[in-house]
Amino acid sequence: MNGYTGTILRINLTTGAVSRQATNMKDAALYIGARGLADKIYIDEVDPMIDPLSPDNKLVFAPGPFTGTFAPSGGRYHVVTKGPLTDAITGANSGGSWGPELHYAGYDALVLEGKADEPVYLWIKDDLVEIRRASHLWGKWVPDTTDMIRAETDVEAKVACIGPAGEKQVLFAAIMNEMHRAAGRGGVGAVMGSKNLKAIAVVGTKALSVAKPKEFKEAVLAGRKGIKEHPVGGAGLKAYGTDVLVNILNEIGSFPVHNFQDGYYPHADRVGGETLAANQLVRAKGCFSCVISCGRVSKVKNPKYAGEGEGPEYEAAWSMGPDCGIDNLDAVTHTNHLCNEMGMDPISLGSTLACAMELFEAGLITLKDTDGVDLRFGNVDAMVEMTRKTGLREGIGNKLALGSYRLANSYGHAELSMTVKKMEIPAYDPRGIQGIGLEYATCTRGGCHVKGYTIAVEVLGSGTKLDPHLTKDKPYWVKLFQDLTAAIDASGGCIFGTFGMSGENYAAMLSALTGITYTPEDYLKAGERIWNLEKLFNIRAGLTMKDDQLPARLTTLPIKTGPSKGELSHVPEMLPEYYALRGWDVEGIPTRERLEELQLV
Amino acid sequence: MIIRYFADIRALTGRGEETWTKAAPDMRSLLEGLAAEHGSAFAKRVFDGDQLNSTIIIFINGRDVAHLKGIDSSLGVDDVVAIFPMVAGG
Amino acid sequence: MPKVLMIHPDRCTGCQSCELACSFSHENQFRPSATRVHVYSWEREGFSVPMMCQQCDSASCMKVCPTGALHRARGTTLVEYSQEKCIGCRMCTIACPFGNAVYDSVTGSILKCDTCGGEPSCVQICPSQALEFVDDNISTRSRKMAFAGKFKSAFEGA
Repeated sequence: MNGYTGTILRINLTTGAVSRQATNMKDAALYIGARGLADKIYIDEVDPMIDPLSPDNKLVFAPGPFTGTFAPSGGRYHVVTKGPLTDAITGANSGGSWGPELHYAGYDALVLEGKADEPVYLWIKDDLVEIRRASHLWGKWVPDTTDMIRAETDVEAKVACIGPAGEKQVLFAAIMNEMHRAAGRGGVGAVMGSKNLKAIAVVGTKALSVAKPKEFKEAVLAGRKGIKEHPVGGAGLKAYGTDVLVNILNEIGSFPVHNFQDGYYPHADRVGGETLAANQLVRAKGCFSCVISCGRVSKVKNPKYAGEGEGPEYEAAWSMGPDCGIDNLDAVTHTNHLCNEMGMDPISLGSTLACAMELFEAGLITLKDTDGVDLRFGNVDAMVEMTRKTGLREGIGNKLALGSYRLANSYGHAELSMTVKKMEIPAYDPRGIQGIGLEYATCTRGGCHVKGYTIAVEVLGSGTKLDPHLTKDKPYWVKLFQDLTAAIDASGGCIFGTFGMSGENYAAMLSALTGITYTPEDYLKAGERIWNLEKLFNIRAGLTMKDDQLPARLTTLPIKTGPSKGELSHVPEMLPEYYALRGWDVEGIPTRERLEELQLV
Repeated sequence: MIIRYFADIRALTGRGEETWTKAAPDMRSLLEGLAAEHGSAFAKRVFDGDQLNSTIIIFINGRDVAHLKGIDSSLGVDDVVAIFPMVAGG
Repeated sequence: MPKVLMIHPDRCTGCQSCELACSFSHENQFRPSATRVHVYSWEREGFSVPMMCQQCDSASCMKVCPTGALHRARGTTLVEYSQEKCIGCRMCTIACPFGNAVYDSVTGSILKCDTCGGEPSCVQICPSQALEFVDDNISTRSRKMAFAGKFKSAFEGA
């Protein structure tokens, strides 16, 4: 068996039962691994109508075939569950080195169900699996949790854990590994907390074999070379990190500001990647088997916000920065450190705060509600304090922890929540960039950019240059990015590998590794299959085409200032073509014909 | 005309922004003027022979020149030009 | 001029590509516990260091080896390992002051860097030039020069 270990580990936290089953290799060929395999296992076994925070929910962790090999940026794992933020199928992807360790321990997936009756952590060392007491760890933040568990298990154990945010079931709590890497969105950390599961510590010493070593090595070296020679993969990301996007998005006037009330911020440079590189960056950091090194080791010296950690990424610099009317990068870096340490998604956190600020300025949230905190746009101290309060669910933080949709809805103004399917949309204004708006509206896990990152062609011109203001052909491109990303996620790869590698590279590596032949078309088809599997779950969970739309603000309130002044999103005009390309009917339901073609019936 | 530089382009020009008052009716003449001012390293970065280097992104008032007339895009005295290397994010 | 494997920890991003290349080049598979180069990372500070056999001039492992399994050919830098002579006593793992000799129970052998026959795989794959295979006498030159440059800056500023 190559690229796979052949074993799936199952743990029932209610009963304490530990069992193993053989990996279904037919499923592995159809769904590849990681996101795809975890989706298949989860969707076959879980009722879409369950409460995500109940013991009935399952949590599946899965590496992909690449994970643990030297496929470039191929060290990732995926977490799949029903997300408590969205009540939709939710997959969150993370780098670092935890995923490879699970693969070396001998597992293609880890399936968790039930709920422990007191806090526990899992200790997995190859065939040894223990459920250990974690009461002494409950309440500890992510860095201390990691160190304390390593002291009890193995000094080099890889630890995936939740912080106080996951324990308290903040609906956008994350699962962190290696302290600073995150399976970030949709509340996967809350599901882990609802099971009383504090952490999973792993050591793996087994081997991962390769079907065709010579071909695999050739394909890998070609892929690594392609990335190294690409201006983004080879140099840009290492020098400036993803935060370099602040200025570019602002220069085209699609940089959302003040909860998407506008799309241009005159002082954006203050939180951009250039400023970060000059002021807070210590060095670049790379995930497992990565040549890109986009990670930012960062340190803030300003005593008010002093600390060290990683980030911020573009999304975090935006959400806790100009989306909240803030441009103090020391403070933003600090709150990013807090999000990592408490285990929370900074996109949803920042966007929820921005929504709260708009509600406050509208007089709906009062000083009494905030215990005297002046929660207006631009108030740095308020943003920092509310970050902490949200992670700990203190005061109004208890409400903020539910995300902007439930927050705004509780004041009768759900339209002020910038979400799709109740998940906060990220840092690209869909009024100035049409394709990404369609991705936000149609992504199976809610308002997400990364699962269909058309920014690569609409703004960055990587490979192809599309005009961001036009809707023409965008449905085609959104579907293409969604399908390719699903296949890459399922392989255990990081999507930044696409800055230098093509579908051909991926298919060649996967074929040589597993011994199963994938053409680039097969590879994309696997991605399309995974997308449709997720869609079917969402339909059974009660989502309809009504959930494939953006907040009204983005289709009715034009951008006020800057280069994209006057623009609106045209998602409703693109949706019919998107559904048609996907082989879905006019209401977005997959047709039998397409499902048969994808071997889903 | 305002010219803004980003990422490693800043190192080549020693600044993040400048006001350009020399005549530049189109992008080609502007880049030639800027190259004369900032030197050969800058020139090599923005030009590929006499064409625009494919690893550079240039906006005029927020519009990518690729969607206008490329290196022959016309310029007005009040335009804002932004010069980026190809970048990425998430 | 003999070559040495030079480590630049300040350039290491912690990606572990060196470990993977080492494992793969020796075994055609990925077995992290059987690498001869190992990366240690400190997450709080974001610092990583790759470690491998230093091919010591006066190698402690060679001194304690009872069978000559660890030996050096005259005039070369590499401390070589001949598994056929090894009796698995593990004295070398105790003697090495850096912990760079490791006993692997799967293959029943000592794992230590062998420089891949003169073309180290780790050096070839490292994306950050944190590992270099350089002539012995220039191995530290770049660091010395960098610090000499600081004196230049200090005096220029005065």
